[in-house]
Amino acid sequence: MFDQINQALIESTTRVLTGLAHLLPGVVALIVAVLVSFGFATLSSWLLRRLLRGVDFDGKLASWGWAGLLDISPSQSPAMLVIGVIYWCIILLGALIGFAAINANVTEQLVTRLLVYLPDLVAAVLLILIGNVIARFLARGVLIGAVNVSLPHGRLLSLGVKWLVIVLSTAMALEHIGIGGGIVRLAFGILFGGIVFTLALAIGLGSKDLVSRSLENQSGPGREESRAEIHHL
Amino acid sequence: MAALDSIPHSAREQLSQIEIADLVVALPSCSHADTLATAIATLRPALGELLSGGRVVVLYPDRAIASPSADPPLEDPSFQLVPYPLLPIEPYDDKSLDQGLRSLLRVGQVLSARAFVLIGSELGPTTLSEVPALAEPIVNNAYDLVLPYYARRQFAGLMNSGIIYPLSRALYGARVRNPMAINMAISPRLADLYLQSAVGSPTVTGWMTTRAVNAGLQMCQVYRPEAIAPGTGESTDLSATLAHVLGAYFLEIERNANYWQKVRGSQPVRTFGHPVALPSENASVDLHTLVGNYQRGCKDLSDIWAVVLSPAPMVELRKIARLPFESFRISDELWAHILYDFILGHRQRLISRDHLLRALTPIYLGWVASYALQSQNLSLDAIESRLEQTCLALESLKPYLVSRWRWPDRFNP
Repeated sequence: MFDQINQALIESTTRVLTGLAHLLPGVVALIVAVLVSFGFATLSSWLLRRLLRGVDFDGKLASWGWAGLLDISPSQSPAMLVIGVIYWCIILLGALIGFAAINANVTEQLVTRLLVYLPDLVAAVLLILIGNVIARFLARGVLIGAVNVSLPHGRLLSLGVKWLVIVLSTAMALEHIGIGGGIVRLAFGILFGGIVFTLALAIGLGSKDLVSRSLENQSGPGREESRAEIHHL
Repeated sequence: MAALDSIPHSAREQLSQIEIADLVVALPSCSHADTLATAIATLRPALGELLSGGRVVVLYPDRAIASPSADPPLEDPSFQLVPYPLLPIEPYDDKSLDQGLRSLLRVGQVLSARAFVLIGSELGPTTLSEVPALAEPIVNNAYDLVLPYYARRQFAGLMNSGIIYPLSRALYGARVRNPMAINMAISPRLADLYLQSAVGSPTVTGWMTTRAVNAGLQMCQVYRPEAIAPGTGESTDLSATLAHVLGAYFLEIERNANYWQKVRGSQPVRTFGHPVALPSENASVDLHTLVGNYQRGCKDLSDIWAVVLSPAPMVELRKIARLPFESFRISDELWAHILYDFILGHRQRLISRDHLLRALTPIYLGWVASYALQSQNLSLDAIESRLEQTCLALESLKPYLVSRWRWPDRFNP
């Protein structure tokens, strides 16, 4: 009896140790791969930073009309955005290589699933990016327009427009990659409907005086009078 | 003689019969037979005297005066009326101005005319008297471009007085009071240059002035008794007007960068006639509203301004927003700095160009308020000196614009 227990313990220890011995090179390979990819990513980002600064990437993007990217870039620099994306892509690649060293089948499945998923993911990221740029553009336009027609609470209005577009684009992106499914649709519907309903209530009840004052300011006789004597052209 | 191919079929036969003319006048805003009859009655004797029997051809819109019976009968070969597909010229609308100019200049070339006159503004007795006044310097003194010099009024043509004229003067070095006028007389030399430019050029308004200066052509002005061009409609949306006018003008600045960077100082342009003294006005302008607009702009748009403006003017603008009404002032140096920063921001597309120009509106209204506060109870001569100071400030700060234009990334406090 004792011999059998001893035998079982020895066998299980041997199995675990053998398993560990099989796994260990893979783990070490994973750590090495991540460390190497980290070093390579740091070197690449350093070189890329020098290169993009050398060609004045930010200035050129601005002159091509991509100034909107400034707002969504870290440190207001689209070059930093590009560097960041490339940096994390290299780290991800290193991690995948490391996982392949542990179990090639798992990595193969992971890569296959990732590749199938990638177009949708790229489309979703693009949706969020474009939505962000459009949101900021519209928010700026609304703010300038509100200030120029002396509409009170221009900032609030602009902020509302910005978040509406961001929420809309994020919901579209999540819907596209199939995260959340009906919940996202429902949540967006409730949120959007809620905002519209709140605005309608605010205009209809609470803020009717404010709105009427704004409209009077915009087109009423007082405003015409104040500028009647000035001819700009 | 230029080819008749460029002329619409409807007018070809009549123009080939006329063959030659000394002066061609285009009246695109003539919309009624009565107005045309008044124009003929005014122009015929005046131009007959100017040209000593030379031939005049007047183009009027064929669609506006469609009925041939409405055309006044004219047997005189020295004064011919030609119906032509002209469209009315909207103030500061490049497309309609380009169409009007090209029609006039093509007809003028076909008829080998010595001078071409375009009256883009609404027709009235004073506008009609502008035709011989504008044509005379070209006919008698061989000038290439003649523009009207409208009489100054305290609160009229402020966009021209505060932005266009000082900028035009500082950049191109010619003291032309109304560089974007839509009434003008043009010589065949300048007409050739214009017709060589691309059709539908995005910046036609002000093109004649900058082109004449760049090409070293002779330019002059004629004193007019009006404060602004008659019929220059005032849009209710000031920011849209500002964006439209300055957008076109800033593009023209970008196009002529090679020329204006070499220009230093400014020279007066010969002005014919006598300055007309308009009676002083007691304008009841609500300056509190203008200052309020500026303060609201400073509160809400300072993030956008900070993208365009250098740090020093930004700090100044914030300080001014906190000043009490009585001491509200935007100095000439600050105004010059702001205008140049907006030109540079427009060129570099720091933000959408339309947003950038519209964001200037509260600062412009602040400048109007500051100008109004400073010019209260001043004579027109004193106001003139006041605006001269603004022009000089832009001229003295021009090296800053040139420097940042060439090296936009250089540090600018």
